[in-house]
Amino acid sequence: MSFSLDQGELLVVAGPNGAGKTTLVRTLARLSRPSAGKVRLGGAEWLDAPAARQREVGLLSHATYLYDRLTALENLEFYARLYGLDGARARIYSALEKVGVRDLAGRRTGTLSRGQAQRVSIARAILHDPRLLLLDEPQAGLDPHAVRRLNGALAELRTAGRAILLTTHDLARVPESASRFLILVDGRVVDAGNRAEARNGLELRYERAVARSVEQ
Amino acid sequence: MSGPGPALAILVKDVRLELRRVESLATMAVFAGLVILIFAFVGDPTPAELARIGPGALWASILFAGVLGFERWFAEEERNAALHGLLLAPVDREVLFLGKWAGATVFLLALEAILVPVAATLYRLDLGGAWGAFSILLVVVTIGYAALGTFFAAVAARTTASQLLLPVLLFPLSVPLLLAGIEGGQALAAGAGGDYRDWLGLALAFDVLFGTICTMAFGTVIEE
Repeated sequence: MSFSLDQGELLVVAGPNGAGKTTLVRTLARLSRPSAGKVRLGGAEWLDAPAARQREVGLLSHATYLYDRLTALENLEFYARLYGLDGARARIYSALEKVGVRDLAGRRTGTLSRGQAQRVSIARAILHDPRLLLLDEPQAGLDPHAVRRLNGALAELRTAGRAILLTTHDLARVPESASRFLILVDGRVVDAGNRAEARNGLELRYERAVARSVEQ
Repeated sequence: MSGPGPALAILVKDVRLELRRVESLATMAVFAGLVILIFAFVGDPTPAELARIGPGALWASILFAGVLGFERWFAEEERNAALHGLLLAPVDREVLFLGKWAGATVFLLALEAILVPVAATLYRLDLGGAWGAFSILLVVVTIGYAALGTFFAAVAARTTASQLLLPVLLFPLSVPLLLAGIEGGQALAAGAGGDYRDWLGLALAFDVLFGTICTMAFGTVIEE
């Protein structure tokens, strides 16, 4: 597959189970190494870049990457120290506020519901203000109110010039601020389109693309 | 390479997690205490024999209890895939290892702070003025053992048989350290300062060699 993502864009990557969405995200985050291919970030080679450049990427995955016995605040403070962030407390509360869980700062994350922990994890992913934000099915486990809040935060990040890649198989919940989409099947891009197409008729286009791919 | 800040952050986080799960250290202490106790009653030893086998019993208990600890301490990183959170950070893999290694060393030393007085009492270990030298040996051997344990816990965590694999990997390579701890302790009890220095030197060389190898290889074993 080959595609580009500019700053200020929100690219939705849709596909059925096993299409390669998570593999794509993990590869872009450098958690998995591809057997072949290249990735460039900010115009420079990315896969072999120094660890210090990892601060340019934020990732929300299926797992929360949180320690159950630490509070939400302690978890985020730990990550702030790993990233060497100044003004950590202010950043943490701002990130928690963006996803609507500031009041959960003092709760151990092991006691939170799946959706609450997911929102704290989103705060973790955006804490260091990455230029590329990778979201692997971020709406999973979120209630409609939390999804609206997330979409609002994504629109803000887009306006601030951040590049966002979001994977989903739930096309009904594609954010309004999506600028482009890709449809993946078996690790291949079988369809792609622009913002207007992402908003209108995406589900039909998705079904057709997947059906065509299966027939081939 | 990243500065010491991230390693310190990992150490502080690990200590905080451990303090909230005191049953882990307590389980290790009880288990190790029983090992020490059993050795003390085997064959109805005389006071002189007790003093001779004391260092061996102490190190055997630390070795066995350490396996329990290494597996649990690394399991914290596997829960919720928190290890991936560490790998995502702008921190060199070597620094991540240093943080985990430091945490394991602190936990083992805390365990030994409980076990050494127990062993000294049960085995009537009388080191006279050599307790300082014994403490140095204890720390040096512990640092090496913590390096191996942390490294192999990471290796074993990537398999489906981690509980089986960890001791199989860890114990054979720990033999030089175990010998240094036992023989060095016995040399101190016998007042043989020269032998003690030789065993301490061996443990130091082990720390440098395996500490370096484990630190450099950590990134490879945790990559997917």
